[in-house]
Amino acid sequence: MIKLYTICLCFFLATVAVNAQTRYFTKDGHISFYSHALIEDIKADNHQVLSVIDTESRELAIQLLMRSFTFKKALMREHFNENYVESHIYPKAKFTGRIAEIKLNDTNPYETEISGTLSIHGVEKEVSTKAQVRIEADKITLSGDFNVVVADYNIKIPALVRDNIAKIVKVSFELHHKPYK
Amino acid sequence: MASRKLKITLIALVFLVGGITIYLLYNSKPYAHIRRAEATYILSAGNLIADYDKDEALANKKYSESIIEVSGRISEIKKVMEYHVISLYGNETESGIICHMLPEENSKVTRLQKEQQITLKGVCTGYLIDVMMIKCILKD
Repeated sequence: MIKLYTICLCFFLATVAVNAQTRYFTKDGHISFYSHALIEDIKADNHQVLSVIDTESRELAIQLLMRSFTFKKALMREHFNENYVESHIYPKAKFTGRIAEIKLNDTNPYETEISGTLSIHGVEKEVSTKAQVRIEADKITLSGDFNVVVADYNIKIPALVRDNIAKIVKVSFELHHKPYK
Repeated sequence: MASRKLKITLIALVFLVGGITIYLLYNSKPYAHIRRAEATYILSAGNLIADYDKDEALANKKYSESIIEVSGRISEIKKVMEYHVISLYGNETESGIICHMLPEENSKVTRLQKEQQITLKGVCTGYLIDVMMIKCILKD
């Protein structure tokens, strides 16, 4: 029987090298976003982020479920999923790209650049951002933040709640990768 | 005169009840109702994975955002931030169910062991390479 898991993983890692020795992986990465607006501030967290790094090719692939974002208030989450990002049509956000530099033997944290394609709400955009890399014994941690212009991803905010939601939201990430076995 | 007073009182009452309802609705905590809510679907981890194996879009339509009760054997327990993550074995595939527990379940979760058979209730959020659930609680 062809295993769906393997198919998904292959699909997900389509551009990532086959050598498992060079592959690092997490299923519980953390991505959050923060919207600062006139009427209220909104923060949401997602701790179910899937991320894979191939240290040889320096490729990075990230996937998350929009519905896995948790909010302080129930209604915020409902509006986010149903009205803005339309999770029933576009359940996932994806990023595929490359890390400019991976220094496996350097245990001092350093800054590098990540660039690639970010797909949200069915819209793909080229993005690049600075990221912190921290390499410990068997762990590669990527962290940083970047801004997302809501309108770039065809996410429409009704005029009535325009003062509740920022036009630009800050996205932060912290991904602790372990060797893929 | 008396009927006018009654009208004003009634209108004021409607505004008061409406205001309180809107306030409570807006400020309600997500899934505060999970503990007392009836699960829409009750099934085994194997069957849940099998449904996603068969047709992810269809399974998403059915389970995503629903409160489900799922039974299975624990493959891993770990702590992420202030709460636990319990993974359940799927069927013969390598996919499983990843359940992010509510922090209030911490004391119960610390008594669990790998390979133990349990039942969890929570909100299904979809499928990456495992079925994902959030706001989970343990069923007795």
